[in-house]
Amino acid sequence: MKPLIHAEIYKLKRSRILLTTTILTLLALYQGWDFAKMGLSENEEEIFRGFLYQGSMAVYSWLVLPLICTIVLVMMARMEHSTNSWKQLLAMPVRRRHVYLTKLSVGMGIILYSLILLFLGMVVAAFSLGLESIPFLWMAKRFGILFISALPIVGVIFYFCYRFSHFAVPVLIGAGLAFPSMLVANSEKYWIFYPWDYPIVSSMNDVFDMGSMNIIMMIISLVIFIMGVSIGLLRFHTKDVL
Amino acid sequence: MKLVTLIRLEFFKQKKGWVWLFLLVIPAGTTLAMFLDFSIRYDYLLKTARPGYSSWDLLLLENHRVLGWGMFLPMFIGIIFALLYQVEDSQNNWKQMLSLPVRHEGVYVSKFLTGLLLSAILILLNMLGLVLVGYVMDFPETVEWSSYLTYAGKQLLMVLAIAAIHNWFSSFFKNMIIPIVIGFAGVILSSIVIFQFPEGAKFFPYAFVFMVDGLVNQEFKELLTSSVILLLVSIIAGMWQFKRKDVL
Repeated sequence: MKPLIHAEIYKLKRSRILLTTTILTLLALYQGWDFAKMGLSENEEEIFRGFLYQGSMAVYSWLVLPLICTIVLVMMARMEHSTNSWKQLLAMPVRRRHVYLTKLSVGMGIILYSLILLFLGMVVAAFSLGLESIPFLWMAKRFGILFISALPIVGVIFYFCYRFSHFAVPVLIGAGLAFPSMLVANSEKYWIFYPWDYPIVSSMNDVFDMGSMNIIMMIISLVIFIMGVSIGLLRFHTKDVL
Repeated sequence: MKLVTLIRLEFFKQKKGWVWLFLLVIPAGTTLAMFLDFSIRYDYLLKTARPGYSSWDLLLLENHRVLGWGMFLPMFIGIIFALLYQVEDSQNNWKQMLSLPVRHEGVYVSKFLTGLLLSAILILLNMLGLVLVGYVMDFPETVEWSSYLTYAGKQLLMVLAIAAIHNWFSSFFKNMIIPIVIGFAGVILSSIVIFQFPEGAKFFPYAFVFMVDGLVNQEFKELLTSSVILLLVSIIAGMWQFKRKDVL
């Protein structure tokens, strides 16, 4: 599996996937930074949580994260679909399972990269604003939950990326479902039924009350993720390469 | 005359495409979302409404601002244009298409008009969906056709700039994901522009549509000027570039 991962990273070099991810993530950070400059409060930690974190997350969890998940996975699938290089790739002595899982893990790696970039960016922004008491542990927890809450999106989009060779299907699903998520997140009762708003609810739980749904949300996230990936894998095994 | 043929040809190419599904599913989604929203919290919305707003005004604002139709519409239009150009690029149809006795400008404008027409359908379906929600919810006031039609018309004028820009991008890039990514980034940026620098919104085409709800935001003439200027600039620049396109 190692050479496969190397090959994926090699392909990434010429694509604009990493650049896109970086720019979109930094946009969110900029909003938080701009927000924190206005935040006048005595308490440093309050400025951090209430302005820098909240400001970045408002746009990150609503728009940036779901759209990054969509774009990254679609672009990675398109590398193979556009020239139909499945023919070459799968004719080599590689296991299909490994090809599939490599694509998944590299894709998720890029999403994780975006989260880490935002985390580090917030720390740097906090220092540049002169905020010294950064709640690292609290932040790490929040980012961990945020990653888990993005899993259903990854699972669903990943399935559609390899189910259809046309890029339009996963793009339409990703963009279409990200669109009403803020509206649904406003509802205290019904948000749990709409996985696309999980990132919003889980990262901004000062604003949106999660109640005791925390664990349920994580279980649903994992179930959707595992289902999407494994159904996709079963299909990928029987995929026609011509 | 040829332009009409070219536009018909575009629709022909999309016959089995995903774009129709897209045009139906998105407005169906907004209608459903608004219906659920109003059946759950109509009373709450009425209670917290600004005095003077009718139920129809509330519905329009919920659709435009809370659901975020005004913010996401530019992204949908970017996807429509990417789909229109994808047809040519995937099979490298440009070779055949541009060796026919048609002018480059004609092809370019026909793509633009087709995309604009599809965008108009999208906007209109969203508006009709809202009216449907109003009927089903049995609003006490009679339907305000004039304000709803103005709403749709204003949106159409505001998307002119975006449509022209995305027509340019989609004709320029070979990889159709890039214009879509630009559309996504534009929407993300517009969410920042609208809430942090509202005075800059009239220079940022992705934020235009959001500003024309007609109730909270009243400025329209300035936006119209920007939209038309951007439309002309990007059509001319795009056409200039398209004429130099290599077809092989």
